[in-house]
Amino acid sequence: MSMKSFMTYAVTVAALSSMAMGTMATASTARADSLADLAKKAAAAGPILWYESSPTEEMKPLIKKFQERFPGVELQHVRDTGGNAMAARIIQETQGGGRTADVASNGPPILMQLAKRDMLMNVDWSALGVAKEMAPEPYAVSIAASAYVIIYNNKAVKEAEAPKTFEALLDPRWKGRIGLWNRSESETSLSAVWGEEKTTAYIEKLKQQNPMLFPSSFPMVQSMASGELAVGWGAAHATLPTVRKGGPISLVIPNPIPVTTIYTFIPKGGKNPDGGKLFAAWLTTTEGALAYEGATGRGNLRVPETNYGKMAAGKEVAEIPLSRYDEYARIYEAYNALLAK
Amino acid sequence: MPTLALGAILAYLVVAPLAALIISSLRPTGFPLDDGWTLGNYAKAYGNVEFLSLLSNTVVFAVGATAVAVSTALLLAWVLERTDVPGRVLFRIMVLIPIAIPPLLLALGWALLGNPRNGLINQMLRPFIDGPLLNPYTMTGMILIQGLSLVPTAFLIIAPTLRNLDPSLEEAARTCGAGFLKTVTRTVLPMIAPALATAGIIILIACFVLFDIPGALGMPSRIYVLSTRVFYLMNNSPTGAPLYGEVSALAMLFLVMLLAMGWAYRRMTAQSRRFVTVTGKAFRPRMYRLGPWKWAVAGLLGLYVLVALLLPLGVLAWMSLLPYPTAPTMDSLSLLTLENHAGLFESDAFVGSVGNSLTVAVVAATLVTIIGGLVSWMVVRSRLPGRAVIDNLAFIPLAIPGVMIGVALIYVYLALGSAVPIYGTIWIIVAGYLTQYLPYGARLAGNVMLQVHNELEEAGRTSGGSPAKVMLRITLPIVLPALLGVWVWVASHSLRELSTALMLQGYDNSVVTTLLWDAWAGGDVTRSAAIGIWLIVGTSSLLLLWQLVSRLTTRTATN
Repeated sequence: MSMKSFMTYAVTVAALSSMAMGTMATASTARADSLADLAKKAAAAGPILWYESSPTEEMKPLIKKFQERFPGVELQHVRDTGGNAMAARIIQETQGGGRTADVASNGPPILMQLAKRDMLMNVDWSALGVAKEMAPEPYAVSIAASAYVIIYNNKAVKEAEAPKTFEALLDPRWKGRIGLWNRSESETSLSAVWGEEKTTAYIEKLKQQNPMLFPSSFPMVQSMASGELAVGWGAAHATLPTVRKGGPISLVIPNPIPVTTIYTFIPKGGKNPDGGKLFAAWLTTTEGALAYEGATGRGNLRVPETNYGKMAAGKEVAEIPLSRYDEYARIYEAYNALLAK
Repeated sequence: MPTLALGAILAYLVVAPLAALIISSLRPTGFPLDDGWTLGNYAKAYGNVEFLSLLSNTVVFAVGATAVAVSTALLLAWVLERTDVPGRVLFRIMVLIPIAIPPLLLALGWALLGNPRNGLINQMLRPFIDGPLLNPYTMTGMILIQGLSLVPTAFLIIAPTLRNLDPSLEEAARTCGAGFLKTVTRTVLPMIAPALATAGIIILIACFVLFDIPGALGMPSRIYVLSTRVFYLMNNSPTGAPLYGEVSALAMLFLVMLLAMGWAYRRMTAQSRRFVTVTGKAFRPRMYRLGPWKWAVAGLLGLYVLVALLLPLGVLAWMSLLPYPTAPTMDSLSLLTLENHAGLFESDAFVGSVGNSLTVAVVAATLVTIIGGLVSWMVVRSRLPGRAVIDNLAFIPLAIPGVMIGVALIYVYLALGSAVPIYGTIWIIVAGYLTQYLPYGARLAGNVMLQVHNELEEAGRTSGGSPAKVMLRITLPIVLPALLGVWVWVASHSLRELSTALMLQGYDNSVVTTLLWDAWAGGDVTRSAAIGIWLIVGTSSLLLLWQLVSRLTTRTATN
């Protein structure tokens, strides 16, 4: 992606909050009616507690938009600390008989842990107007994705020299100057297109480049902005805080694009399940998807109006589907161990 | 009766986390309330092919950092408490201020200063030497940075005992012909051995458990220790849930080590008469005159302050004035902005978190000081039955990782429900810190109590004073400076503590460190540096106030 295109992406994402403010929901009449009924019940049950992993300050515009869409309904965001903490929290709160989330958003590992424990509510999403492709399972809807891209310091690396493919990261000139996330979510997703053998061989070669490992893409991008690293492979949305402040960061959208879908689900132990369903269904609308992308930088690949929808056009999206989660877990663990050695 | 009462309090604070740890280690899923029993977590934790390598790295890291911290603190305490070096009060404060620097930011600061690629110090030295001089992403770098970060803790343990040494003991040694070194090694060091042992034990265990510096500096270059393994088990498992079972199984190793060291400590201090230095006779500590060497020594102190405080603080301040981290260059001067700082005070979240942090710190520090003081009095000064159990109970939380304390508290207070409705509030964080910092409080106070001769209390009882009156009118004034030190230590650490606060975070109980973490994890490290600067300002003010109060209340003679 050229610098100009990337800046367009970043500015577009920053402007999506305002776009979402003026965009009307494209729900059908039936959907609007069912959500309206749900909203009445939700408003009567008190605040909706939402667990999600973004900073709460950044979610304020989204919360405002939702509450304007459904007056009388209050949404409270609790920031999850990332990793597997959210599942632990919901499990402990449910087992302890305390208040837990009415709705939560996270990736496949957390979703499947809770699903296996039968701690998630099955919902007739179609009755709420959610498209079938957004509801792969009755206990979850897909609302966004983390997309893993090539990132580089555009002061240290000219656009023409920047790696455009994952293979290009193996160029000896990047040795000792690469950053990676220490969790192998992106590599695992990539194996869905490349195959396990090719991806494993690739990771072995990538390790020869002496990459620096980070607990998330965000500190990796910060190290890159400071000049400590030249290139890296990480989550696209992790570049936004630095780019918004003028940091020397650009990104390349590779093909295939490895992604991890973010799901939203309703824990059984919540006090306001109607509120949870309402919010989850709203996030799958164009309005909700734009609001979520504006707040977090992570869009819904299945909503063409979002930036992620546009980014994915013409590219192959790589992800092991939820139906093959056991395979995903096996490869993920193997690649984590491989990266760590 | 007193043993039972104190034992009940300690049981409430300690038994739940301990039980959660043990039960979790034996559950197949690691969640204490799940079904089934297994030894499989121990097999996975210790049978892992990487375990020996992890353990070896951890021992090297922990022993190295402990040696750096304790030896540096001992030298500093000697110079600042027992010599006439100029600027002692100022240097004392500057030795302690690094307590206020969150370890995560300390690691980030050193990465910016010393990374081999474009670290500031390496860039400045490039014209003079080949290759980078510093590299924090090595075992040596990690040991030095972790060791330096723990010097203030060791100093707070060792310094009071040096201050309370009766000079007649040293004079007797000199009279018998012992030179300075012999006097120090054969008289002084044995007298302060309990303090050295306490500092060594606390710091050694801390180095096994703490994650920030190994995580920020070791993980990027694939140097792993047990705490980074714990991080992986908590966050990166594809099962979607933390592997509490393996974490707890690993923590049992820390527990066994701790109990062994605690037993050795109790054996060493069993003959408490050997360590008595505060008697009914008034004394002034002997101050060694450095003569013309005092300026050279002051210069070395200045060098220490430069490395341990000014450099990391300077780079944090620099980062806090930038929109994104970058090395200081002429170009980057144009990026300087006060936006990170101004934005903080306009943020309701920040202002609210400051209030929460102060409340948590003050209440936790006060409770730890009171309970820790009572525990140390009972263990050191009394002959009450069961004091060994009390001592062990008070010490055990040192070995329990903060996250497991959090796990236990979540279950306890969810179960207690409306009876004790503190789940999701700042009070559950206070409960967590009370458990977490109790070992420090009890040990710090206990070291000073060991130095007080019981003739003082006997005189009080002989004169008709009740035990409570004797404690309040005789013992307490003598140990008050140490208790103040405990209070300040706990308050400072409460203000900068992160893992327990994150674990127990709810809708509206954010503290300053959770906001700092939010900013760091959300890609806004310069905002987290700004939060860190204000945290340091606040904690440093507390330390300064403490030093002023200590000067007013310190007694070198007993009435």
